[in-house]
Amino acid sequence: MKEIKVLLEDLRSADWWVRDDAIRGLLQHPEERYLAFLEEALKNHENANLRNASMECYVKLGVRSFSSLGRLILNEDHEVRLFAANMLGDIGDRKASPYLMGAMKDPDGNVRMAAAEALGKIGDPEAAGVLEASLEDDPWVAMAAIKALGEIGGDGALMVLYKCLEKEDYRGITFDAIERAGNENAIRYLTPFVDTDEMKELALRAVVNIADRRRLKLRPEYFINMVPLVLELQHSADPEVKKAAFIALSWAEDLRGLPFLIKALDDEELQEYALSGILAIGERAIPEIIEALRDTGRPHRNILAKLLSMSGEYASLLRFFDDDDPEVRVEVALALGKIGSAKTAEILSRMLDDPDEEVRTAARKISRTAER
Amino acid sequence: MTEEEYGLFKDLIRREFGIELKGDKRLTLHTKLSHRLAILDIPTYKDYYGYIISDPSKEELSNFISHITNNETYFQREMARIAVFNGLLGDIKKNRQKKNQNRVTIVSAGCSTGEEIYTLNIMLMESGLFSWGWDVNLIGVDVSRRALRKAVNASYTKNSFRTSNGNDDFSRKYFDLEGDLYVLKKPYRSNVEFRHGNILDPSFLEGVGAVDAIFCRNVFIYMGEDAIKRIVGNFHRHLLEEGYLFIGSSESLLNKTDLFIPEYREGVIVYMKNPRRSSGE
Repeated sequence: MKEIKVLLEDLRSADWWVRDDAIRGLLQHPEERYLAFLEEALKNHENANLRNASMECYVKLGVRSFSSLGRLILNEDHEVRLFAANMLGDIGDRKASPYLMGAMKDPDGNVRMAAAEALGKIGDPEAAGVLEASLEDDPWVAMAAIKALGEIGGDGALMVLYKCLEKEDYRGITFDAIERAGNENAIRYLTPFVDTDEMKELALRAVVNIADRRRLKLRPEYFINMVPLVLELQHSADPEVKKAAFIALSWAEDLRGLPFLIKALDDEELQEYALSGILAIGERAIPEIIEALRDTGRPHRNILAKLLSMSGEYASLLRFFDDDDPEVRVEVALALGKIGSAKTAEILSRMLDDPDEEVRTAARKISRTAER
Repeated sequence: MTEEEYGLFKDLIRREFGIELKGDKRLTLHTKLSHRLAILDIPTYKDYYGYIISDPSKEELSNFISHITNNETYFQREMARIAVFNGLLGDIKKNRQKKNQNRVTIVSAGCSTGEEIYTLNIMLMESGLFSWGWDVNLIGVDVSRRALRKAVNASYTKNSFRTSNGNDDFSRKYFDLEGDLYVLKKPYRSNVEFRHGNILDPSFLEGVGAVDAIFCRNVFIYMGEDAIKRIVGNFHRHLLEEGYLFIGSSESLLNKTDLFIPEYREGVIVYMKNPRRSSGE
């Protein structure tokens, strides 16, 4: 184990790996032997490497560093107070809340903002009152407070956030915060904004993500007037808005959404919603599924074949008996068991000699069942 | 599929392959697996799970994962990364020459249907750097036997040429068109080998020797942190001291491991082995 003196010297190194090793080494020693050094390092604006290494050490020390950080958050230098607030937030322990709630009254706006952010990271519901009080503060502080309320969550924070919806300048960031913290009840507060607001796509995103997180599938009636918006948002440049709009489309059960749903079968992240949406549309979707399956260049054609099977469209599947994709042919083989005719017997017979083992196995199984 | 059954498969996939299924994917799994129940005459997914784990040969486990994994890839995917690799070929050659070795080995971990490893092979051959007296080995590894069969066949639809739809110099020069299928010309397949294997397994590259570069793109996005650590440890052990690791553009190893050091090359992050750290095994 290296000596503390050597490790503290290594903290000054220009080599990141040397500083990293030094931090690991220091953590094995009692912190009272080097906290004073770290405090001084934090005030050293000449050596950013040393200062950053000191901060990293503080965060890794966790609550062991609170005696020192409690002093630093009252330091005469506003930058040091700012660093202290950031570190208390990064440590994430609720024992830091009193220090940070006190810092919400700091004369420096940047320190108050950092304190609000830190309270959000810590997630202590006790901070909701202090954060609500800062909503009349400088806009940067107010916005940090709204974001923090979203991270804290719970009924107390949410009630404050619903009031924030009345503040037009903060509405967008409030939608984000409610999205993060919201429960089913929040949907009721957000719905009026989905129809009317300038930032309706953010309100929609919040509604959909809250519902999705709670495993609630909103009824198609909810979207009855929103389908044009939801279709338009399929081209949104914001990927999160686009995804939420897609989920809404899958819940809307509207035929106009079908091309997007079929395309999304190729997207791992959206596939579940796409499948659910297509199946909900039902037999109206069949012609487009068959059309898509005819495109031999598209991926995941086996899923399209499976959708036909799940929809009971066995006769439609038969035309694909000689498809190049063995996974499609497996679905055809299994479908043959649902139809009894001379043609199906002929196809089944050919599939018993299929080059793919899984197709042959499926055909054999259907053949045995037919014999019985 | 019930929630309980989904939970069983979710744990199985994590345990055996390191893949984390996010959210409720019951319908997706049902779509991908229902035909196995029909073929095997198994009534429920719980019974199917029991069938998989009771099979000592792991044959059905292999079938299972073949149907679950996303085998989506295409030629010349993320060309910026491939171009950076092309620029490193000279260094790769020098590193071997310093050791008096004339062998180069490149691995595509999670090779799927082979488009990546064939793209890399074409690049190596076109570079001319390893034409004479060099033992060039490209190895594609994947858990999906179904994907590996397609890779060995080296026959592709236009979907595998996402950037050009099969209508450009690349496809015309290196492929023969047979009906709707693009078949890779034989010279570009000859030194490519495919292996069935699981990159979570420390022995997945047994017998291969030291590796010059590993490509493992768009695999980690599906994995949990523990699985990533294990895989990265396996890569660290198999790579040469000066070996390179390429991962996907939307992936990062920052704050996940200190076994590799990121280096910025022409707008792309390439990972080098960290000489200060050991993989421990």
